[in-house]
Amino acid sequence: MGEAGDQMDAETIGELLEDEYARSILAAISVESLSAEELAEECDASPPTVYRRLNRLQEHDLIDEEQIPSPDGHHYRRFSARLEQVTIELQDGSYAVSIERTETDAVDRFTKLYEGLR
Amino acid sequence: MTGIEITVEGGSTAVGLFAFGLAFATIVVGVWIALVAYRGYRRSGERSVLFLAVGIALASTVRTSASIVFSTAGASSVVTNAVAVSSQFAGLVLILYAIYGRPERHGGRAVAAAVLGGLLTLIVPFVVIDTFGPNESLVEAGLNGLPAIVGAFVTIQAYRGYRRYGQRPMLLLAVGLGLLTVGSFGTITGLYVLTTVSDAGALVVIGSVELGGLLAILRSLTRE
Repeated sequence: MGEAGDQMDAETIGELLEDEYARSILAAISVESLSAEELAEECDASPPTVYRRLNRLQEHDLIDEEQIPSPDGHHYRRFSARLEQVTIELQDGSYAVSIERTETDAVDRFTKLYEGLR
Repeated sequence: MTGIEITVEGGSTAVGLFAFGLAFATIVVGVWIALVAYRGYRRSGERSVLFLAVGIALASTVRTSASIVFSTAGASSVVTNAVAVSSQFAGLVLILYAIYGRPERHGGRAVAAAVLGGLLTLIVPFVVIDTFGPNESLVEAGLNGLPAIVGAFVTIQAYRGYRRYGQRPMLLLAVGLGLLTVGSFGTITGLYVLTTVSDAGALVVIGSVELGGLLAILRSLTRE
């Protein structure tokens, strides 16, 4: 959706990607969607570390999550990366950051929203 | 019966009592849906979920309860129908906005659009009757077509959500919204064509379809 109105400043995106765990989490879930437990194993980090990074990435809309119902009734979440491209433009003394994200379609949004309502 | 009196012409007392039971159940289930939806919003706290919750409440609870409350209060069937249809229409607009728009940023516009759309659907039947003469049932049937078209679209999106993720709540939501919009429109139109059905009979048939829709939505919201 990388249109204007989606602006993030250069400092924020810098801080986000400076973190090694955040980078490896994003890289892992850009290949396939994973649960937090799988990510902890994949990135060799503790689950709280993974959750903290996931929350931060989610705040900036850089990842997507889907609820997977399991037979025992406990839902679990899988994450996938939405970040595709970051462009930082320096013009007339200021930085403009624009982010391209993977499109999610209406059906995805509807299902996810409704899951949030239930 | 004390307090509430439903007057219908034609049809036996049994049918009348059944219609009363239906109306009562419709209000109970409708209010229940609104409460569950509100609780869902409180839990998530997200604005887009709020739009979805209000949309579902308007499209289901307010539509069905308004028909009952207004007709019981003695409003004409044109007024009753116009209020029901316009609130449902506004609800569907809010649901669409929750899905397609960005309620986090521009919520005000969607509310304005929903109110405007609702008001227009509210006024249209009176203008039509004023212009083309008082063929009320025809106007009612026609007016229901508007939310039916939008409702069919939302229903298909919910069904696609079910197909893609295999989530049964989305299937139930599709069934519920479908019955409340397309189902209700189809029934009203069908009954208009079949002029042999008595008023009370028609009330029961439409009431059953709508209660079925409400039950499907309630189940979809509360199912684990």
